[in-house]
Amino acid sequence: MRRVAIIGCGQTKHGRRTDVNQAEMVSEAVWNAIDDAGIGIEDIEAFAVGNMQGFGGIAHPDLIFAEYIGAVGKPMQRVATGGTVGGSVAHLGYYMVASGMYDVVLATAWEKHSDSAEPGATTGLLHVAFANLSYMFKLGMDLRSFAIMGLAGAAAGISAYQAAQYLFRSGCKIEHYDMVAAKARRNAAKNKYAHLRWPNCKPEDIAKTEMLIWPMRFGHVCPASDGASAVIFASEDAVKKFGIKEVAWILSVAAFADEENDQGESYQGTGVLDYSEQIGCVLSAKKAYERAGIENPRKEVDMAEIYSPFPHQELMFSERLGFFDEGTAWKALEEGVTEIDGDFPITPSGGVNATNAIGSSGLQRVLECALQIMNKAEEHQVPKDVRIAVAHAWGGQTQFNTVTVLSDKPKRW
Amino acid sequence: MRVAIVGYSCLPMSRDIGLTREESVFLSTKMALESCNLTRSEIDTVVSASSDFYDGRTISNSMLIGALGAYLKDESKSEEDGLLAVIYAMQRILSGTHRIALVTAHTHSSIFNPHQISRYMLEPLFDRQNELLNDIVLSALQARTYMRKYDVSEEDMAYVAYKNLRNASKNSNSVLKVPDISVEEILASKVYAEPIRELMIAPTCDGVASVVLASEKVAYEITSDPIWIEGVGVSVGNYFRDRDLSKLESLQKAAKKAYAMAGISEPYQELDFAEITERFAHQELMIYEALGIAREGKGKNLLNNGTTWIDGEFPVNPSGGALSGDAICATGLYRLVEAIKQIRGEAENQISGVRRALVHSQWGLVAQKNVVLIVGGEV
Amino acid sequence: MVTRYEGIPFVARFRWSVGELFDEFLNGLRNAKLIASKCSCGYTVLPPRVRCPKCYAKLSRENLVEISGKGVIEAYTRVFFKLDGNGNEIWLDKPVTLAMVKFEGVNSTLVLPYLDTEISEGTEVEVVWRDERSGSVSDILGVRRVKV
Repeated sequence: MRRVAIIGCGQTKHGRRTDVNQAEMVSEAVWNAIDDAGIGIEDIEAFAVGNMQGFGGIAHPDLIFAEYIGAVGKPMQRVATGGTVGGSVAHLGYYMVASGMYDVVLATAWEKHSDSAEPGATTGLLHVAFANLSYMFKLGMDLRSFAIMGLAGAAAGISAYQAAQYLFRSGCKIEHYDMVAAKARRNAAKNKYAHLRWPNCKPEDIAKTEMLIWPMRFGHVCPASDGASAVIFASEDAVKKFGIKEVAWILSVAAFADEENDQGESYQGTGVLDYSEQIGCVLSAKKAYERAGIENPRKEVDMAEIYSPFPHQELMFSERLGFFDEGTAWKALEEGVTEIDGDFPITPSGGVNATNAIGSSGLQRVLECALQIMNKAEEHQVPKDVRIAVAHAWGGQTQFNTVTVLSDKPKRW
Repeated sequence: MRVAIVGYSCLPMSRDIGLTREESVFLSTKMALESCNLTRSEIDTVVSASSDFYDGRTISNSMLIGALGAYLKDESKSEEDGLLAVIYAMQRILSGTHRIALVTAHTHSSIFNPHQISRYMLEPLFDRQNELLNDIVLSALQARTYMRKYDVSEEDMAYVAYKNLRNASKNSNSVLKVPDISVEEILASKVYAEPIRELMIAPTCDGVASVVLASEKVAYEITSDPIWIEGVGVSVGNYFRDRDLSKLESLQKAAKKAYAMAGISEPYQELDFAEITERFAHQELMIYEALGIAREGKGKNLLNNGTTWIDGEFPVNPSGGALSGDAICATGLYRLVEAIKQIRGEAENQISGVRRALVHSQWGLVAQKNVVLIVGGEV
Repeated sequence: MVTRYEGIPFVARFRWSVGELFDEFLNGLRNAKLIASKCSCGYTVLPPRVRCPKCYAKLSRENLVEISGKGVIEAYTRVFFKLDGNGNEIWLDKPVTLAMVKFEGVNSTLVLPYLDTEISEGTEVEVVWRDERSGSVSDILGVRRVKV
């Protein structure tokens, strides 16, 4: 099995980037990654790209950007899978090198929401918003709340129901969601690339915000950010050839898809009744750990970057990924276990709740784990030694999950 | 380790296939499994190919997980031509993580006119502001550039369409069945942008095609007739404003990579035929040259002296190529399926005794990106 | 029988950020000037941008050059139709000629409407400016043959 490492990372400042056009924004992240790795553009053999084209209004934009990112005359492969697209791009980059076809692959994912003249992220989501409409009628949501949902980033409508289901299933309270959102903004304040940075954010600050649809408050909702991330994957031989000392190794990847959550619609059978069940995540984690040689994730994994545009998802996915028993994540939160200086830091970068450029956000989770392993996360570097980290992305309606296990060593043993 | 194609399927292309995406994708996927006697549980990974813009929905595979056979499977979605999904699936197998992969590519052009989508591929700040620009108009400029440089005529272009439409009439999967078409009719068809006429444009349509890939370790357990992927080449060129439109440089590069991997030094001698994607008739001549089977500027000779005809020394597009139907993301897979059928002796417009083929598809305005696969049956 | 659901029509509007260098290009248009980026490798790209498409060197304000606005037609076509935004073909009353122009001192080409009648490859052309310009790409009406 070919071992694959991350040798360089680059990102743009995320936020509202009206100072650059889409091509310039992506090239910023790409050239930052190349500089970070200390190699030249001639060393990059192939590219893995992805974003959600509808948001920026350009079809297959990578064809326009190829000449901004050094890809002319080289192979380039594109994937697009919804919220997980960043994670899928990371997996694509990994497989391109693991296959032996290429030794050095640059993976980049991005989103430019501000190019849309429609509110929030609705342009690309307009079709998803209409799916929300069908949920609205089926499960009950008033028109005003539905309209406010349209202003937010990400699939807010379905997530509100997921948040409610998780609440009942786990026994946690809405105050725990406030705590997670506040933690995200505090962590983001230590991350110079993040969007919503609020150094002293307290749960009370979040609790004061307007209730959109119970249990989702305005303060729980992620922003619609502009930004790009880039990560360079290299084979073991290439790492030796370049003589790079600080790398993060990919132990395994897995991305299992569940069926869509449309009860009885579109020939999909019964569909999933509990959106917080997330079998796809459980299966992806199980397979990723198996492939990585990890038997006890709670003991063997040091930290995780979880994809949580909404705070309940940090708690929910931390259980599905095997870090806490079902229904106990909120207890760990109360005890400070998941704080940046805690026993099991979760999303020290601030995560998707503080920065959501849909394409970039999945790849950023892999990038952030790599930075933590390489000791390059600067102000938001977790104090404990990070040997094994798990990066997770989620998307689709609620059915896509990608899990990536990273380590400071090429093999588990 | 090598990777083989062990099963395949496709639906007949149509202007309106009369089935939902879910129904048609399910049919093709099911038939592909049946073609090699595999059950869904034996598939390790699924890669699909479809595009959000063309399908008119964000996350184009979102409602298709069940139909694609990807329920509770390790899967992903390429957002471009299906041959790139095949390459991704191949990479997944070569990594050692998976042994058997299922690839399905699909686009329903009846959902939205693909030529309208080509406008959204234009650089938005300048080119898209010109409301007359689209892929057909750009191809007209490409054709003019190529024709002027190498003294190629409209008759030569029409002759490509004539060859391919004749081949397409024997292909039960094709959109246009016009066995009595004449060069005069082609030259008299509606002008879109000079010199591009209606019958020189690949007709966009609905289509779904699937292939099953397996690693060398298990290929023989599944089929006695595996088709090996011997070479792969992918290359992207500059956006059209900064590129020489008289040649397909990115295809030259992609072909070179594929030939190197397959150990081919004389493509004309070492390949038996080719299935290529000519979205516009003149592109086929440019493709001959970029592949190195014709010298620079001499593509028309290969056509006019009968070499690339079905009974010629180096047949190109026995299926009719993209002129038989352009199902956008599925187009490359239809080319691959034809190549597989020819090698296995199962084709309708059968060329006798062929073992090794070049399969090509393109993506982006005026073929900015090109993909080449070399496939071969058992020696 | 196939039932087709047309769906709820919606329009998604965009307002793309242009970036600093394209902004300079637009300012140039307001003043009836064409601004390009000339890279140290010699390649000159129009409109200007942050990376050279050939050698990938970073380009900035220092690389901006004004070009003459005169050029040569590399290829042209008479266009008989356009698309209406919904995928429908609209057939023009009169065909419009589009020319792929290589401006003097520039390596990129630009596709612009040709506003004269006689045309051939190699025809020398110059930009035709709109009288009232606002710093947008519509300030360029097209090109016409250079009057000798």
